Amino acid sequence: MMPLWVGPVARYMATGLVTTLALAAVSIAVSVVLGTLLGALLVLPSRAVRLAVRCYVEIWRGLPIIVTLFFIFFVLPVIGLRFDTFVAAAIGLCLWGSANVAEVVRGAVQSVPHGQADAAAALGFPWGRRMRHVVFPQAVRRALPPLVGLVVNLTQQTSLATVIGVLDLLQASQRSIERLTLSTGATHAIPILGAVLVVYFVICLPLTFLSRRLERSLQRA
Amino acid sequence: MTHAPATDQDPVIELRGVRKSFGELEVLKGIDLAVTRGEVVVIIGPSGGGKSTLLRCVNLLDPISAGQVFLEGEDLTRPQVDLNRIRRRIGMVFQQFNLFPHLTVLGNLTLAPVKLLGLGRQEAERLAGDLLSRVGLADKVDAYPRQLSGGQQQRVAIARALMMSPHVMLFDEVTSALDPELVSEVLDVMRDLARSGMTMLCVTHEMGFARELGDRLVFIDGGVIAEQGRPADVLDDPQQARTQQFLRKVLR
Repeated sequence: MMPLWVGPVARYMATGLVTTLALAAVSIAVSVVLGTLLGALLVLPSRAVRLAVRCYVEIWRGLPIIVTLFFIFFVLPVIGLRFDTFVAAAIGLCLWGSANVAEVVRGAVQSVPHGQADAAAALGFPWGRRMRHVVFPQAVRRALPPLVGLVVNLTQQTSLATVIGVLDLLQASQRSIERLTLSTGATHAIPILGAVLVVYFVICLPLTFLSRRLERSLQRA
Repeated sequence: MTHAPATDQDPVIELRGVRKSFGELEVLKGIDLAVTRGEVVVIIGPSGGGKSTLLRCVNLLDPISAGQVFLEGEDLTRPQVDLNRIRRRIGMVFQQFNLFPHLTVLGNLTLAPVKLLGLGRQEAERLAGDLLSRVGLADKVDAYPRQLSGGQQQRVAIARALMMSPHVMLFDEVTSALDPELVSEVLDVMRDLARSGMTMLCVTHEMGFARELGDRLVFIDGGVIAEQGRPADVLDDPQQARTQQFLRKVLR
């Protein structure tokens, strides 16, 4: 027979999990799309464009996510930009995620040997179509393993949203532990945090496996 | 061996005073070279002498620092020229093959004609089949480059360049990355091409090929054309001291 507190706590943590998954989904989707565009800009022949994107990438990649989150949530309201906690967390994660995706995409594009673009150019492909038909298809395969790793990382980093008060899985567990301690006088931290651990693990493990499989299949190719 | 007579004495390719610097280093120091239709010009010389750079300057894969490059009378160095369109008429084969690894042999051959010339897929595939037979690889249409030997890959690369019906072919040390036993199958294809009347500009270390098929041998050293002439003359009786020195090393 399970203790009575388990049911309500589980339901409460389930709502936290939904928030965590929503935050991860939004951050991943925006980071991948925005980051791919930014990464493509990083290989553009134009030096000015590259410099501008480079600044963006270095700033958001260089700051600890938690610092970015504090900045968005506590500093931006001073100039009138006030976001609700979920949106603030999503923005912070997207800035970090897109900067890192951009770097992965740039690296993948530049890892395609120069001879490939040379061969396409010699056939008469203009720069854009060289990229589209010859370089990008090869870059995508090179980018996939690190991208999956980044997606795992981004999912894990959503737990940082807790510090600005997003009611995610971790926050829900914290509040449950505190309430149970106040109401029952006993700590239930171990089973609750144990459950948190298992849930994060179950979300990320398949992705890690996927990453490893992709890497292996690419080595064969 | 004789060639199809040149029908047109106007040069297909003409370089006038071509200079090329990489930063401080001047690799080409004023090259004048004209290649007439049907002519096979073989370029030899010590490594670092500018041979490959010269070839890459013909289709401006490397932009030149000074001088002019003409294809069939058209100045490629004018700013408003559509270089990508002109490059379709200049086939190029590379030392490292540079086949597209994500495409099959057929995909490699049909990509440019379908995407750039608007050739129908069926027509492109028929042409690809013809050219693959010509280089002896008709059975490899569906193979991926990694499944082929170096010699086979290089023959595919030649066929890929021929798909665009180029008016001139550039060969950049195309046998240098091959195992010795695979060199001859590539040279056979080049011989066939030369005899069919293709205008060719070849950087190579294959002196036998130069002697047999070259109409003209150009020796490049220190960024200039140090000596040129009929291959047999240059190879057997070089006039310049540095040509003699180079040939002693490679023909020893």
